[in-house]
Amino acid sequence: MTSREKVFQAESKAKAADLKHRTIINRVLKQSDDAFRKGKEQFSDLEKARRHAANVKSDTIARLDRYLLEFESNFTKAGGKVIWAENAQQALDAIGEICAGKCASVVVKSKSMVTEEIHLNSFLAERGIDVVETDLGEYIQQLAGEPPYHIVAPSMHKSKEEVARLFHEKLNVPAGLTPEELTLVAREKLRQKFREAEVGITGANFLLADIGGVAITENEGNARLTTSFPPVHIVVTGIEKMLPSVKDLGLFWPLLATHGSGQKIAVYNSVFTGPRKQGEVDGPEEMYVILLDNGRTGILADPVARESLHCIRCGACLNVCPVYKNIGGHTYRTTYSGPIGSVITPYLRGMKENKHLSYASSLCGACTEVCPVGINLHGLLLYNRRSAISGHHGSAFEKAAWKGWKMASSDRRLLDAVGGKTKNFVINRLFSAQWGDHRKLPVFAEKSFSRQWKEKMNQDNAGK
Amino acid sequence: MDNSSTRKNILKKIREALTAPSARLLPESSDGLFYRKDDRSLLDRFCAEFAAIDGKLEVCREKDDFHKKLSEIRDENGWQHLYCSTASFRTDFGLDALPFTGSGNPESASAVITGCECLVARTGTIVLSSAQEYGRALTVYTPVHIVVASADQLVDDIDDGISKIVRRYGRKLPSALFFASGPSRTGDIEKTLVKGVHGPVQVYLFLFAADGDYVTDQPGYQSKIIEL
Repeated sequence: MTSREKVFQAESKAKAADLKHRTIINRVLKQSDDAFRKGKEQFSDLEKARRHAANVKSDTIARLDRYLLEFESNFTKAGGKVIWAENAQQALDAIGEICAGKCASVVVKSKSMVTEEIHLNSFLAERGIDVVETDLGEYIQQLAGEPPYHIVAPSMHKSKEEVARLFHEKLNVPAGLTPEELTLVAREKLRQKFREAEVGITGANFLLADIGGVAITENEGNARLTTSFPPVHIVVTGIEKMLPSVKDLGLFWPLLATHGSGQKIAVYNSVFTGPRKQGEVDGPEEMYVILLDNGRTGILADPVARESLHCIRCGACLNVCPVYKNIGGHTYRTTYSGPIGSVITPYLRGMKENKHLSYASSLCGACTEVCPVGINLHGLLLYNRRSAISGHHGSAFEKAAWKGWKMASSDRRLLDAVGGKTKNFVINRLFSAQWGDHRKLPVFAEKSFSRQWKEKMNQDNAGK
Repeated sequence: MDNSSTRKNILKKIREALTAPSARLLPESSDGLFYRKDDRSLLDRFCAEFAAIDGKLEVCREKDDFHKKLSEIRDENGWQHLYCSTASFRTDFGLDALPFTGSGNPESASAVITGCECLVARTGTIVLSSAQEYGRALTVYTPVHIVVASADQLVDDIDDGISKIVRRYGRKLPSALFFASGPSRTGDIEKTLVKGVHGPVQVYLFLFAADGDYVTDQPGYQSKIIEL
């Protein structure tokens, strides 16, 4: 067992027993669930919509190089600059260079999981830059010194009392403020930052090849402000966010909103095609899009795992996962948590250190059922397990144990010959540690069914 | 910044990866009709949707309706100064006749009055663009956004809104397009709905409908057609 797995086992055990955490999460997820059910009603045939979306993503990924080049050409023609980054360090260096060029001391950013993936905030902080998270949930997490808990709702695990306490401690506002009052505090504090910042950094929900566009979805308005005031706009995005056309947004925007938060459509869906044009009254003078690989071509190279690149980061699989519900987002200790995180993290960060997440699943399939782009998530978890074993990342003991189990179970005479007491003893010895304290191992009968049947038949025959 | 070798490497990796065909093939897709049918008029649908996302709608026939309604709402809310940057807009809608609007300082405005590119009925969306005089910041930074539009700007769905923009601007798309549906909101604090986080806390739409249009009474929105 790797040390990461040991930590995971310990933390998930503790979190699963944390009833306070479970109460909040269950309440929040129930609300998500109710909203989702309502949001789905806008579709006349949701399965048809999902299949179409899956096809669009599948075709796009199958010609990803072509679409990336088309995007680059169109975006560049409009005055934008494209920077390709093979790994996190290259992306960080490019961002560092742009910020240094502007003598940036304040950077505002909107919510972006990719910037979490490359650890952007600590990189900029080390360079003396004040990086301000402007999404309310991320702002809360930044104040608390915690990473986001969920890919769409970063602070969903915090009760309103906890947030009030946090604001009181860190921002010197009165204790016990309501959510409305807390939001107003954040609004006031951040409004000034948008005006001060030299650089605004966002992610991208979708890249649009035909118009060289970057589509950003939000409800608060902070991404719009991040891209209105600062003289520079930097977009950091995975290469897989591509869609062929702006016309695809008519389906993808409602799918994202429904699966992410049960809305028909998010409050602000913006499309940016480049820096401020001649004649426009405001907007950044420079716009950069950083196309990040960072392991995605590895996923692409695996024809089975490739479909995980369809992901639109809606968070629905997290919301329905019974494991996520019990252990919470932080226990994964990865940028991307929940089922999608468990599927892709071994490719992005190594199989050996991250395979345990693919095992932390009952394979119930709720994730696959809910996915708006039809990713066979639980199938991919199983695939990861197989890859882990064939890649020799499994434990030698487990390998031997399964070999012994297979030998014994295939041998009817052996199983009949050995009594229940012996079988119970062996199973207990081999598996009770893994089975844990909260479950009972199955108990073997004194005589196997096959033996009992034979004896009964002999009795009956003798009786005739 | 010499990016060309990185670019080449990534493209090479992608092309090599794609030499292996995908494992799962999905059946061919569909007629492109995904949403529930709705036989109501564009106007009725938009009104219902806009109200459902907490937009405030007033249907008007004449400029005088508009002035009257605007003054009432301004008094109700205690707004001091409404900002409107478009000179032609101020002329077309006679805004200069009102004592409290002007081109003064956007920073101190309680509300900003603008037009829009078009309106999407199915989702209650107002489409804005950076090509107009309001630009990018004004309509999201000001606490209240007032839109003046006419019913002939209504389109059915998001697709149609996008097509309209593409037809209007062709190869010279604005650097920013905004599809705005209702006031700014968040549920980030224990799923409690709070409006007006960073964007406007209220969005008003004054919709000029022609004589032939009508708005039927639907629960959930007010439609006061003021007869002159």
